[in-house]
Amino acid sequence: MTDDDDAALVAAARDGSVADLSRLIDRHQQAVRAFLARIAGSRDEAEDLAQETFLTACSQLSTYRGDASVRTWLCAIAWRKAKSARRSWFRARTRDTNYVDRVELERPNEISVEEGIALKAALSFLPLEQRAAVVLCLSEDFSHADAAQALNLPLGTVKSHVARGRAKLLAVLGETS
Amino acid sequence: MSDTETKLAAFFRAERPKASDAAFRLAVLERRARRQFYRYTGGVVAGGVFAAGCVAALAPDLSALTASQPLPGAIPFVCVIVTGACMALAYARSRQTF
Repeated sequence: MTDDDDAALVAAARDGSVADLSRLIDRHQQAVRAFLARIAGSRDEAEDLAQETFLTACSQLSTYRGDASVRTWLCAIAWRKAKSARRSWFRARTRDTNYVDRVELERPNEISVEEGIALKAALSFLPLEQRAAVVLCLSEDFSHADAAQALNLPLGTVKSHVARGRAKLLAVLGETS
Repeated sequence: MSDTETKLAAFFRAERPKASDAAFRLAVLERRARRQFYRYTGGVVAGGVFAAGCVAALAPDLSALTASQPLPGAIPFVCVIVTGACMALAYARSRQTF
């Protein structure tokens, strides 16, 4: 998958091709949903926000200028959605729970259940911006520059967020710096 | 990579959504179609109300609000045709999503 392919898909989707729009959603849904799952309050809220992210992207395809990759652009939209969702408690009433029941997840087993729970708790205690930076860089393989662009933060701030967040998570697993 | 770093990487890999998930894609497209349908339907209803308001304002004698008065046969007929065309257009546009 290249940025050129994505740009071609965006151009085709902008012209009304539903097949190309579907391909675009399929390509990037995993990154967007995994990112939101780690920073939203719950799995169903994350799924709802992910759908909203793609709906917003669909309506704003004409505003995509190609300065950043499509994945970065989508994660930037997802980040704005997640932040505004924090401010609107009534969103919880409009979640599509029927859909959430059918979400299939990948479950590797290199990590014990207890460690997973401890890491999840540690991640949830990180400040929101730090958590988002950690998730993008450590989970989604974003470069610091891409994460800075998606989160609309200075590059130095992102680097510092990632280093501190990573150290806190590793400390949960028993590593001393 | 140390053992703790391997575990951290595994944690971030855990519970990721599937790489290809047709259910999610369909949920997004279905939600988009639903919104488009509501938008077009809202447009048709708003247009109808606006048109009825214009008729009532410009020609009170022909208004549906004064149905007790004799109406020329062509006015209701044209209204039905225009409304039907708008609904067919809205339906066709919403069907395009799939």
